[in-house]
Amino acid sequence: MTSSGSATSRAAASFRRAALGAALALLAAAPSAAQSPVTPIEFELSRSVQQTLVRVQELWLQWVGATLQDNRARADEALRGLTVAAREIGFAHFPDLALGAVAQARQSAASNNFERARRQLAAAEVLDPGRPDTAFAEAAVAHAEGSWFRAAWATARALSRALGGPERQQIFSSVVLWSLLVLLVASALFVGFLAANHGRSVVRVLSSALSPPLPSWAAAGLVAFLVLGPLALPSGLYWALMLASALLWTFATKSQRAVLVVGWLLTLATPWATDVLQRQLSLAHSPPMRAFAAFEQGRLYGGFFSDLHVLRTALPEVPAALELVADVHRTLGQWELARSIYRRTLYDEPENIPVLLNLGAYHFRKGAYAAANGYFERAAHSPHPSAAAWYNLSLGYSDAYMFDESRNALTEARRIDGAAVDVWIATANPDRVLTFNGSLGRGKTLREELVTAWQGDRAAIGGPGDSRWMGIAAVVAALAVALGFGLLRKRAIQAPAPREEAQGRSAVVRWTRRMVPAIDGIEAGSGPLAWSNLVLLCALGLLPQSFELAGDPPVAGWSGRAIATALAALGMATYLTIRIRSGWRGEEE
Amino acid sequence: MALEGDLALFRLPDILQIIAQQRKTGILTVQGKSDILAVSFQVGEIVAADALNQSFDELLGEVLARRGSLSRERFAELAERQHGTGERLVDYLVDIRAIGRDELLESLRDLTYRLLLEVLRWREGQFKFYGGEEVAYEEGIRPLRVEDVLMRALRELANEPGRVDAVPHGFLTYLPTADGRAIRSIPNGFDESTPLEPEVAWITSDERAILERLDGRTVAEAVARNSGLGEDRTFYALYRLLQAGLVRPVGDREAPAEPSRRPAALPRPAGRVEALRVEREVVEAAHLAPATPHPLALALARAARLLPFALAAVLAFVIARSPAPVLFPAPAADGGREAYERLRRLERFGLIDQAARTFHLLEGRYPVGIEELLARDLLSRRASVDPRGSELVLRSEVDAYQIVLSSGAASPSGLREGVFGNFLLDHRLFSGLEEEGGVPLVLVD
Repeated sequence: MTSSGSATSRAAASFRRAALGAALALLAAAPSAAQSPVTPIEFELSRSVQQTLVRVQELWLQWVGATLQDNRARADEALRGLTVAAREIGFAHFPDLALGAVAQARQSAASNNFERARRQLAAAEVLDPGRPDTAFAEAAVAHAEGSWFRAAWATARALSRALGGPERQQIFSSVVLWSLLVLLVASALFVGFLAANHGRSVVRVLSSALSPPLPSWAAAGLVAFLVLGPLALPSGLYWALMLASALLWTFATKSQRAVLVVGWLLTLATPWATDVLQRQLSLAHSPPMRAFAAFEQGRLYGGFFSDLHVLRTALPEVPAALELVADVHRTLGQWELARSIYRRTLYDEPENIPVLLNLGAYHFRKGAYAAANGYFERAAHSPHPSAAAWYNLSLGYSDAYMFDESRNALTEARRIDGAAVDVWIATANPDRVLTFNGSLGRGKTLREELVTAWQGDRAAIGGPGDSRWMGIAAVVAALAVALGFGLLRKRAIQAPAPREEAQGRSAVVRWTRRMVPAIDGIEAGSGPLAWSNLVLLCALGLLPQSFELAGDPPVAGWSGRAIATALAALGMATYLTIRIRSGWRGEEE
Repeated sequence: MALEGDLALFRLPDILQIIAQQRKTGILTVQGKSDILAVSFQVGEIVAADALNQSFDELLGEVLARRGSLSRERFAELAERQHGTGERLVDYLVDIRAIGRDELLESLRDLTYRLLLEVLRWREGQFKFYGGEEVAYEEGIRPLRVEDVLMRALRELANEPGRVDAVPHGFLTYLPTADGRAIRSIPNGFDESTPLEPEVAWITSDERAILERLDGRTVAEAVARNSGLGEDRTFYALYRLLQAGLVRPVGDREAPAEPSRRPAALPRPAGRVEALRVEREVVEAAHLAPATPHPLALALARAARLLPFALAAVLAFVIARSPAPVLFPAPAADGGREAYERLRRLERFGLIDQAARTFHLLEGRYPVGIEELLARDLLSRRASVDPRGSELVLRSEVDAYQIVLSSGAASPSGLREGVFGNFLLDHRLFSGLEEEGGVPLVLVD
């Protein structure tokens, strides 16, 4: 692999363009109906690594066959082989294979072979422990067996895994979007109830302002046009609610006005927040960051090398990306490839301590202690003290028969971080010297670089940028309308809010008011309290969507929607029970 | 508006009703011959009452004794002990668990009512209302509604001597008086915008319902039963009609022969300075108000009652289809909405891709269609459709597949994936390894 020469540069540029196109597939650039296939692996793999990967393919097929034949010994042997193979190439887990095992387990449970299903789930747990998919499958198996308690327990465990795993970012984003949605809808309903309460007064004020110069029928028509006209505009509901909130401002109490202001601010903040969350998710799900996350967790999935190649072509000159690629090569045992990329990284970052240590380790493995010590000394004498550098230096000195220097270096290492040194000494390490995946601490840098590299497609991605100013203008206009209408109202009658006599109401109306105490609260001038009742009702109503507004989590067997729906039903039942009991007490009084 | 005047001209119940209907907050002071009472209103409801010349402690003690919560002797003893503590009496009684908080609040409520009952008996005095943002009252007390107070007071005062002519009695019959005034209904009660005309009497719907049933033969109790309003509302309406001079009692006791002065249903000017102030503001308000809004405007206002429920239905429908219009409510946010929709669609594609890869791992090929993924339980039904509800179609080839929206629908986006580059699925990826052969070279030192 080289990076010089005009022909190679042109090829690299074309690769970059193709990789950008593939990478942006998940960043919502408007794709056509048929995209080109994903490019083959361009990531260099040594022969031994390839052989290991071929062995993984074979062991997997062996495992699948053995489990279907209920040959437990052979299946266990295949599983052990897979574990060994993963370790050989520096990884720990195979998430794709775990998903395959989970799928097998569901199939076995569907055909009532629960014993086999449990073995397959156990294998999934070995192949990639802690997956929520496995726990959801366990719940499905338990459910098929008729064990409700185990199913519930497994579901709870699955949720806990999902909330503690990589999926949590997406789930968290969904919950945030759900919260914003609830607050927005509650604010809109608050304006609606306020309008129901004071609508007549607004109409009277407008009519009284228009009717002396105009005949009453014309004034009425104009009032209807003013009030209902905004609905005909694009985003008509938004305009109508903003206008209504402005007109009702003057009739609202102080606390109600505070709620109106909160609603206006929410209309401004929600698109911005949604856009930020979406960009973060897009980035997290992009091939380069997917590969980064997998490498961080030691999980080798089928498309890992392709995704890593996308990173390399998207950020060919960025030191953090180079370091990541080099770390992967080193993890795979491809030291030569790692070394050449580390040297390139060092060119841009001469004091990158993990790279220096890794290069030193390369030479140490080859027995070139002078060269190794050269790198270790550079790392040890860098501005940032590193116990690992001094520790490696002590080993280098020792192997070069420089025992005094070795002792001094070890002392220095202990001085900087004695506890870590003790751990290193106690831990078996085939390389003896310490190596580091320094790129794993540079995730933030990688994300920023990727965003910069893809900035040109911001227009295609879209966002609330343009509408932000429109939203601010709308809020300012609402305030202006509120002020103007308030002045108008002072000249007109101060019509009191009509209040229905409690005892004259029908049963439907009475019970509706009891179920939704916000109605009475708003009539009585309450603001935040009435609004929070609406927030509660909206929260319960929208709860089924709470986990999925930012997209369905990529978890096989995800039953978050069912769980949220059950919670919503329970919450609503509790709420209604409390309101009905309170209502019956009111009836008796 | 400054509400103040003389009790000889303005009936206290009417003043209380104006404050209630206008949902005023503030303090109404009433100065009688021997005492001054301050009644605190919070949004038109009574929350406290204090009498200047009566000790709060004594009043509370009486109420507690009457309610049976605490004997007079025990109360006196506790009040004595409380003096040295610096604590409020009500807090002290609760702290030492002499009475519960709820019982205390009910007793305070009772005390408030008793003071109001007392002032409702006054025929002479001055009143003034001081409006404000908020008033001080005992936290947690259930406010008293003016109407409830008046109805209850009416019942209690009816049995007192000297009030026979002012309050209705169940065993009497009543007749409308023909005094020549036009009678008009005002459904929601009086307020300061109601225009004052000497030849018009304004009555509420309850009062109209009662007035129509008074025939001089049916006793008031029977009218209450027949009207469906209940005794309290019937007697209160009858009381107001009596006060306005619109009805007179007949039956066992005839009304006094001398013409009674015609007390007003509303505060009415009588040539005094205090009264003029009220009249001026009310008249000004009447001139500004339009006589009657146009029926279209009224219909619009009435439709507003159903608005929140219609709005809830619309929002529920919109969110069920896609929450994007609500998350990006402002105009010109099309870019944001589209990006949101696209991202959700691509997330859905990602789920299908994951399922298809798993299928390939197990079967060695891609599924023929999405139905195969559903049958193998690799994909949920929900994930097999576009977030907007359009069916997704999976078309597989040898080592690749394509997802599009259902045929016939305009497809703004799709996905094409294959085994290429996937070391678990693409078995030709390392086919070069097999081609290398020969004897391995071993170097021996």
